[in-house]
Amino acid sequence: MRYLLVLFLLIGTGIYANDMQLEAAIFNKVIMAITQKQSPKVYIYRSNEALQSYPGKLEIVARCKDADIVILSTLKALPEACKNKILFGTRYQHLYENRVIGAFFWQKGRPNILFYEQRLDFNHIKLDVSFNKYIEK
Amino acid sequence: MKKNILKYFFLFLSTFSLLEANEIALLLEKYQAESELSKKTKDENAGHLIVFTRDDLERMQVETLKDVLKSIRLFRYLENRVGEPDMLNIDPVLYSSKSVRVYLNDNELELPITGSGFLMFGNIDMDFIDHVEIYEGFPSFEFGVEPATVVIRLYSKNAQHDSGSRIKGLIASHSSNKENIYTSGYVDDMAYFAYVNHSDDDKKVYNIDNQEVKRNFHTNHFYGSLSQDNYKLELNALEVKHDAFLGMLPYTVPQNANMDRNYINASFSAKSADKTLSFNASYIYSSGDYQAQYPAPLAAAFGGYTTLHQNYKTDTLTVIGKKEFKFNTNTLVLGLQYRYKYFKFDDITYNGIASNIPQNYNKENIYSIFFEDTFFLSQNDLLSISLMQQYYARNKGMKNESMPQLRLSYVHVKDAWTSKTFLSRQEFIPEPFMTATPVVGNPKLDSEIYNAFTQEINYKTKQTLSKLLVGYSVTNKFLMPNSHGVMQNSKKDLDIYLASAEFTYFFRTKDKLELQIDYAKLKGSDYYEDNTHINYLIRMLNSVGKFDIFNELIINSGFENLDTGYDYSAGIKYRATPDLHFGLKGENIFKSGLTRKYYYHIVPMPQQLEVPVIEQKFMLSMEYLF
Repeated sequence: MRYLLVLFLLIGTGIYANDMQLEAAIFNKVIMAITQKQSPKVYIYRSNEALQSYPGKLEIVARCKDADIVILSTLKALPEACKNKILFGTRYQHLYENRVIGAFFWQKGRPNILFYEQRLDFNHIKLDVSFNKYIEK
Repeated sequence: MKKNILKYFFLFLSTFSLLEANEIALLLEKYQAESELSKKTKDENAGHLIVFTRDDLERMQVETLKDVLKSIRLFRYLENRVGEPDMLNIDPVLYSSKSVRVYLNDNELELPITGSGFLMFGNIDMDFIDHVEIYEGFPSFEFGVEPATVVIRLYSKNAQHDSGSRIKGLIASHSSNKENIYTSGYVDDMAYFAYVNHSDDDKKVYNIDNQEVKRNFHTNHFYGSLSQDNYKLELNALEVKHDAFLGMLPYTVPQNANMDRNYINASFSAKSADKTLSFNASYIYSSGDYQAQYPAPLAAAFGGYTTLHQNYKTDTLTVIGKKEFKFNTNTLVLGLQYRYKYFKFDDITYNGIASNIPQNYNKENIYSIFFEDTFFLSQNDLLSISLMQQYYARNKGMKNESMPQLRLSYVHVKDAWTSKTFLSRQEFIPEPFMTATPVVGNPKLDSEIYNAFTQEINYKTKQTLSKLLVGYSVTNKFLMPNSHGVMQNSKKDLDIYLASAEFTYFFRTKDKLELQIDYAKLKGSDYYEDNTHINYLIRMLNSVGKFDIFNELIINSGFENLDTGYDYSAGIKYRATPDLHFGLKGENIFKSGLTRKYYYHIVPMPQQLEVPVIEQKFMLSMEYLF
């Protein structure tokens, strides 16, 4: 409790936490929709502060081979064990790689979610209709 | 019956899907609002803070920095007699804003001759800026090497939020125009941001003594950054060419006068993985050229020449290292700062003949060490003690100076209430334009000593934010010019009493109404008459459908040599698509804003030209994101 004041005053972390919580909540919704699981196993490559701090219903696993989905911060030196998993990006540039089915990223000053239909079909992923506006044909 | 059940089932499904869809869209919208960069960078403990968020800047259609500075409490945006920004200007003194410091991210935009870079960056183009933080009062030492009373921190857009590109064009009254583009993204894991701007800011031409006086500005600007992990490289280059309005001398009106300024800043910053250790190195090269031609030779007492030409060149190197130590009940920050300044501005010719009077000195080394200890007295109380010791070493026999700076702050939070109390003592060394200038420079000047007490109380509810600020400061050895234009230390102290009250009402989703009144009383200098300023502000920001509407009324009264002004500005922005926006804005629409009087003759009879601080201007803009 002692640090509440400091957190608020010095770095605004009270509010900062909110934005990370919201980011994690969006990841939760997207990942559950992709995996169709209530508690999907997620491997984070290499970092994702929001999910690491607020995993919600997701189970963060330490090995790629145990994961239902991989959340990417980079594609560089992606471990071999991750290559056959569902890959989900956090930058628009990650979508340049065909294996990445979609991404949640910032562009032009606003957050976006984007999936490619062909890639979803290829991976036999059927998202519910609430994601229709985020799927590009 | 079966048909009806199916109908209700599908209706339920589609409503549920819509809610879900809305939920994602709403989450994204909320996430965007909560991710405002200003929420991560602002430091409430560092001073009396004013924030213009990215959303504010966009909806207010802020084109240049003056668009926000003209309404901040206790200060006014002003320009000097050569048309350059000088917030504390008192004509005919050319520059009085040495304590107003401007930062771009972690780098001070510094000019060694004037002490601060406000005269070059006080009205900088804002299209690459994410948000602005303004700290009034003596701010935290973490902010910079030298003391300040107002710190303006500009934060640039970055690849993290602004991947993609934007192109913008603007046309305005008097054939003014502005064009810029930025592009941002990642190459592998390296983030980049690059911005280029060109603007021609033309204004009304005045006629005095059969001479045309102009204050048109032409600007080219580049800003670029590369960052990866905790390392960042930045390059900031600005070229300004402008008419020098009434010229530097208040004795006669020039036939023509021009100022060119160039500025290049390269910097590198690094942070340790846990962000407790930081390092910043910044190099600045600047140069400039001033030319004035008079229709007839000046009186012999003022030099007897017809043309004046002056060049300057400067170098600044700043290196800052900071380490943060976290303990159970306190956080200690230790900092070491070094700044090297070189400045040459004695390259002057009169009627083409070089002056042989050298400047008094041309190099300055500033060594500074500080510590700032923040104690968590309780869940609701925070006490900070800051101490800085500075040593100024100067060449050519100029006296070296050693000076302490002290700052105490106490913050108390209780439910919706926040109280901030600041107590400070600081010393401002006279800057080279006061001490080193050939002829009028006074190398014997002492430092100004500034003591201040300020108190702010905030009260926040879900829909309102109220602020009350009171303060008192006394300046010993206040710097001012004598009748020959030579700077002197005043024998009398300058007392300043100040107060302000602000109320913000947030309504509907994004609308807000801001009301502000502020008061300042200046008393006791040998040179300036006592005076009292009162400013009022009413500002409303509304968003209706695809339209953002901005209305602002600023009333300024009581300034010396400034007449009471009523500046009404308004704008409307149409977001045709998420990527295509059109803006229409009027500034000082009724031509009744604050006006400024400048001397153009002092003898035999003082005569002044009165012009609006901010001219009436109408602007039409378009921006496209891709």
